[in-house]
Amino acid sequence: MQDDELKDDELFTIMKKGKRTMPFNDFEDRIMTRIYEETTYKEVVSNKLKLSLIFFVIGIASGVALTLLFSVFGKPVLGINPETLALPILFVIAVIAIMTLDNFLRLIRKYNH
Amino acid sequence: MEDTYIRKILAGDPEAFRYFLKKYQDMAFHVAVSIVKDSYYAEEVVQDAFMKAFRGLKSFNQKAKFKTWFYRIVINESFQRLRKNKREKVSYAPAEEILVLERNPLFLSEEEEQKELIAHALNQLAPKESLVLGLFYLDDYSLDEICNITGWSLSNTKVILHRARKNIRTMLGSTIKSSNE
Repeated sequence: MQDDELKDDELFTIMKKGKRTMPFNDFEDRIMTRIYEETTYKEVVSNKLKLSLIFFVIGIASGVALTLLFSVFGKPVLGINPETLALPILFVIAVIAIMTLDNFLRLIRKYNH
Repeated sequence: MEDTYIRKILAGDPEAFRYFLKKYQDMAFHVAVSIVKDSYYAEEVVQDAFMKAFRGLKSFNQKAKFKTWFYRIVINESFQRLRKNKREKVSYAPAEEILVLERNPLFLSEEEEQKELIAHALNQLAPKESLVLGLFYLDDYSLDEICNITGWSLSNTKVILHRARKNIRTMLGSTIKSSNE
């Protein structure tokens, strides 16, 4: 059964008559409004994410620096040597940094236009 | 031509998307309404399909045809909506019936009456049948292309098309005769 064999004129005429067109005149404008809103929203979110990422990196760097300073110049806490205390703190900071960075990257990728 | 507009959109000019809206809204609406059988649901489906296409343009393979890719989105969205309506047991037929009955046949010209009858008959067909008729006769897609768009097998598409032709002929027997005269 070839395609052309199936295409008879009768049904072609009928289908042409029965063709439905978009009955809502403002459809195009509504979609364009949605697109502009979404684009603007993505831009705003993307900028805010980048800004928060900068502050997050500053926070992590300050945390690491303070911990290292504490380990060098700090006094013992509850009899524990500051050098010994710095290691688990740095480990916790590293875990938090990796987990949060992963979330950041995912969000930035999602809202990147 | 379409590549230029796609490039413009990807470069950050959303206004270029208006070209695709103007070009495909009617056919997308026809495809959606032939599946969901209701103008309001069809409009929602087409809206969602256009938004999905806009968001997914980055992943669109520009060697492929935009039209085929977009129709696949419209068809998927329509069938998803149909499944959702069935799950929620939404009834759409009465609204369409009322719409048809509200228009008094006495005030319709013969051509308008024929259009009403055809639209009504297409509404009565199974979603897959009216969809395949639209793609085959209005969009001039070949059977292979229809398989590509819908994901159906060739034999299945042939069966659906055959059944659709038979059913629409039965429903519109007298209309077909009068359109030939």
